Amino acid sequence: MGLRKTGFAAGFLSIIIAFIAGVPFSFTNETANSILNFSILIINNVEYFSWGYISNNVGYTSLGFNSIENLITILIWLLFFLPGLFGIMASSPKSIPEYSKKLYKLNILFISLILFIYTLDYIFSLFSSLSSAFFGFGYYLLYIILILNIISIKILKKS
Amino acid sequence: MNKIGFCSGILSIIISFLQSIPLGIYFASGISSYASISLNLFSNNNVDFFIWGTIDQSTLVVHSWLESNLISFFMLNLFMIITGIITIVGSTIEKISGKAIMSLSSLLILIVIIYISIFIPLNSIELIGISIDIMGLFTSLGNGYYILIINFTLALVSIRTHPLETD
Repeated sequence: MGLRKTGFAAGFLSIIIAFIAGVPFSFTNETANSILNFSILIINNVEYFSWGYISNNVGYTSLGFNSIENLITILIWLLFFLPGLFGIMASSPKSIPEYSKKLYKLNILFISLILFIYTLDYIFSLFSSLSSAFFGFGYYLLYIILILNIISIKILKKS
Repeated sequence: MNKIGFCSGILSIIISFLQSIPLGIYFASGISSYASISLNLFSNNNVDFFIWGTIDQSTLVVHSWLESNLISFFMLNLFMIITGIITIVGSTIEKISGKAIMSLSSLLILIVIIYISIFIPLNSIELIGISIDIMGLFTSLGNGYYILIINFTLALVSIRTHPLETD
């Protein structure tokens, strides 16, 4: 059996969301005209990512702090990172289909949990009259990852 | 291929060479990042200790173990680099020799953990030039130490799950 492409793509996208803030594109003379931002939520011009947030072009993360706040941040970040790792591990050519299916199911659970958390966050910020909230590109990318994982399970079931 | 072993090897290489894991990577005139997770083992008197050396946070002077302390270089840096290489190689060998390599790598990680937890506090003046008591060390542990513990756990699990070819 070869590489499971949809599962690998889902894992690769999860890794990108977990580590990368933005990718430049549309180049003219080696200068990027635009940046594809992977922010998940934008509330009051503060961009929220899997690892922290960017406010006034300065990034903040509590992943490195030695406090209890750190544990919650690590858990949320792991919900992004583990689907990436699992997706790539489950898609390797020699992986056992039964185990791969379990990993894809775990990925779906993690991504659904993230989507639930951020959707709830968005709804709460809508109720706050002072804030303006938007979904970023990262939020829609999470749906793509979710769909890719579901497709991977269906392909596994067929084979 | 032993995937858990491979992940353990990658972790070993990461903590052997990197000061921090970059988060929020962006590409503007090269590669930069908005935030990062420091991989320090512990910190004392404004000095961060890593597998590869130290950084004095007040003066931002960097010393590698190779130039400051040879014993620490062998016990920390060299052991972790060897661990990283042999774990990645061993994870691809689906034979009993591969399993033996995984056992050796977990033993090397355990030696590094024991060296940091026991030998450094006991002989801190001779080894790192700063006095550290054992309780002081455990109240100032950094992310690198916890990653080392995770790495050891992964190495132990990889011994059990190492695939063996059946002829």
